[in-house]
Amino acid sequence: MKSLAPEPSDAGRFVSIGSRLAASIGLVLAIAAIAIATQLMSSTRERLVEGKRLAAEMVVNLFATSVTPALDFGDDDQTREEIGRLATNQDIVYAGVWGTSRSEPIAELSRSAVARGSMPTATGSVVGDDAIEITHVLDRQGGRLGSLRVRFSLSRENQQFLAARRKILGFAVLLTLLAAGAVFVVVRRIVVAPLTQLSNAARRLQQGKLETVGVRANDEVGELATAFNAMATAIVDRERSLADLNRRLQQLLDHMREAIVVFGNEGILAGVRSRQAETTFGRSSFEGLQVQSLLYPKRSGDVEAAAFEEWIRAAFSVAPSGWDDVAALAPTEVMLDAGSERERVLALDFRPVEEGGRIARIMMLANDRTDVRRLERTVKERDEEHERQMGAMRRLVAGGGQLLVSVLARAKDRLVASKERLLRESGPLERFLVEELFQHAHSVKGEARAFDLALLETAAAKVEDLLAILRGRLREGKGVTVEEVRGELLDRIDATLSAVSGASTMLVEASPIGEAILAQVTVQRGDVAELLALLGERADEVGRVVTRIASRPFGELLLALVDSVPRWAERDGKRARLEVEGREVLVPPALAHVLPDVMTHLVRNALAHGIERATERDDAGKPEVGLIHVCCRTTEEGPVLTVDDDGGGLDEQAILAQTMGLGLPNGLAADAVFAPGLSTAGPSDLAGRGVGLASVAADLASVGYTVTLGPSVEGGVHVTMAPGPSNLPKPFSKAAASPRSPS
Amino acid sequence: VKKKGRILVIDDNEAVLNNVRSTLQMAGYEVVATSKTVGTARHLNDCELVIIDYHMPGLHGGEVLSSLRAAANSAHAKPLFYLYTSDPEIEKAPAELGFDGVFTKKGNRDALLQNVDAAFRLIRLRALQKK
Repeated sequence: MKSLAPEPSDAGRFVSIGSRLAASIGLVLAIAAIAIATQLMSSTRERLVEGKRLAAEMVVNLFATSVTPALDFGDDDQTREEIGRLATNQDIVYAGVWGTSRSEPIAELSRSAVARGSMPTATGSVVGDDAIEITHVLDRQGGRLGSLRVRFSLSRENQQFLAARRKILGFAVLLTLLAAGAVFVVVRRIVVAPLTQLSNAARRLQQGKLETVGVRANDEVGELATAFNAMATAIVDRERSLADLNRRLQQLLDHMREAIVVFGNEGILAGVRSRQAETTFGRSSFEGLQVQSLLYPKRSGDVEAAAFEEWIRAAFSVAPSGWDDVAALAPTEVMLDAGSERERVLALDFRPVEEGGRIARIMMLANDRTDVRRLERTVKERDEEHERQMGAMRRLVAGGGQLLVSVLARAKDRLVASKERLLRESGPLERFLVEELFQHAHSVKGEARAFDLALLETAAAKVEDLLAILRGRLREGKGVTVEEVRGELLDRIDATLSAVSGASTMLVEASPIGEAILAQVTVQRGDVAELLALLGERADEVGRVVTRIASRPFGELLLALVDSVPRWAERDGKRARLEVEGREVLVPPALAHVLPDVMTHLVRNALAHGIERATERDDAGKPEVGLIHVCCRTTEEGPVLTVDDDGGGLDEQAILAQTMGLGLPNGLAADAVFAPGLSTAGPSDLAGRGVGLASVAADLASVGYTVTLGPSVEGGVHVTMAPGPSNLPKPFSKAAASPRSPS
Repeated sequence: VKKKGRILVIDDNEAVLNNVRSTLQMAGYEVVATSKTVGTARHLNDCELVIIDYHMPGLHGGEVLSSLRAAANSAHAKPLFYLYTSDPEIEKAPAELGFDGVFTKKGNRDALLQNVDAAFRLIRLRALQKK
């Protein structure tokens, strides 16, 4: 989950609010102090200068009074004497007295190089920075006597002013600092400290610790603290509630069998997942990963991964109302670790999680369907295998067996020739060699296709594919050596040879007459019958050959039985199968004529009286499926046939009791079973009407065969049919058994 | 029955064509399959996906793609072009040849169907996004 903590501020170095307030207030106070000090200093100087000016005017007035008589009498010496008295006043830096007749002063006093100026013409005073200059015009009745100018230094006043200014400024600075300090302390105490407390508490809250602050001020800060405490409590309550919900959700997810993960925009996984997800995806941590990497690891370039990327984009860009359209385009299944031992197939389901009117997250439920898919694949492969066998059977029925045999032989020749050619060559791969090998592979593939030999066709196509690639490279001028490709080509050719061998095996297995199929030709049955009728009675070689031609493979005579046995057994509440040995052994025409009925009777009898029900067999420690094994062997006298079952064997007491009940001669139970009318079981679909074995014995006797019965190695019944005169007593002859009826 | 989409398949190997055609048709797609490498643009009509073999006599898959792309650019709907090969060197860089992607595991019917289903999901999703 994304943290709600604020991002670090980029506003620069932290500065306390107290310092800021103190600095601000200090600045304001400083400005005010400077203004006040300036005003104060200004008035101080004015006061000092004004006092000086008044004193100077008084001095000048007194001097004017004392010098007036001397000017009136034109006594210049007296004038100079009077001006000399001014020298005692240290503030006077210049004094000059002018008469009316000359522009030059009559007398003057100068302490430094001060410009004397022109003759004053009016009474007045001028205040400068450094001095005050006073001019005075002396008049008498009827005319002017003269004028004077006195300049007083302001250096003393200026010094006093500077001292006063220093004091004022120092005081202002001190006052400002004291005020700023006081503000800082007050602000720190009533604002900064509580805010710092709040800040620390907020930080601890961020770490998941509930902490209230003890600020009791009855002001805005107090209100803020109260609001913070309420918020902190609410946050903690909500977090506890969320944690509780999460815990319950996790428990719920953990109890589900699906691997569940939740992802947000761009497929980023959240931490929530079911326990099964850890097992399914083989990891314990999911947060921050992309869901794409779980489903399509290392498959960034393939179309399934691209489609899923597009789907995630679409899923998070549609409104919740458009979810169904997007969901229909989600992947429904994915295969992980394909081709490895850890291969798994997951069925996928996606559910949206809405927030604020949009799809905020998506929950993915992955159900492991590996076993189901494996089962389906096995069933499919069996179906395909069955289909192939049916195809082979159809070709056999159509008399194409020999053709197929020759095709397989040709394919083998072509492949062996290709191998030898490849092993002989070396150096640069020549185009004509590729073409030659390609032609062989192409022919094998084409003929395999004609016979629906899918495995052989696929194997040959793989050889052809590789050769096509090589042909393409040669065409583009890319050099390839025989050594570079020999290994891969030989592997593919060997695989094709294995497919040829497999096809031969399959042909023989599918053939009801076994390997005889490899030597069989198709002729019309009517033609054979006619030939037999014409020449079959001859005792010479021609007669024997004709008889052999008219003979039929043992397996062909049992074709219908193989499929029927499981069905018959099932109808009787049992399970059984028929195993045929010696399918290719030729059965003479006369015996072949009666054998289907004979074998049907014997097999049905074995099912009815011998093979037990599955539960009984299980109690007896036998396989659930009963076995009836029929065999045909060639002997000098002719074929000898046997039927064995692994059932319960003969019920000798019941047979002998039946024998006596029917008034038949006493004898062995094994012989008595061939008595007409004898049956140890009630009639059923399979047997029990009491004519089956009598009929069997009679049919066999009619073609010069005898039948004997005894215990089998597996504990069941063993029946032998061999050439020879009937050993059965008279009542068991064919005449006694008639009329024959189906059992 | 409404078909799931129309696909053009170009491969010089008749066995591959038959395999691909039967696999995709059984899955509900409409398939146009041809072993010809020239004059195939006329089959593009309404095709949403084109699957092309690489090693073919005459023109290779990249050259066939170029001619088809030129024709497809003037068409209303532009199909996706996918390379279908078992050549490990070629399947590394379909984009360099101008293909939208590659279907690997040539000959594996299940893999082909998964790839084609995914390609059509991609097509439908892009159409949905454009809306």
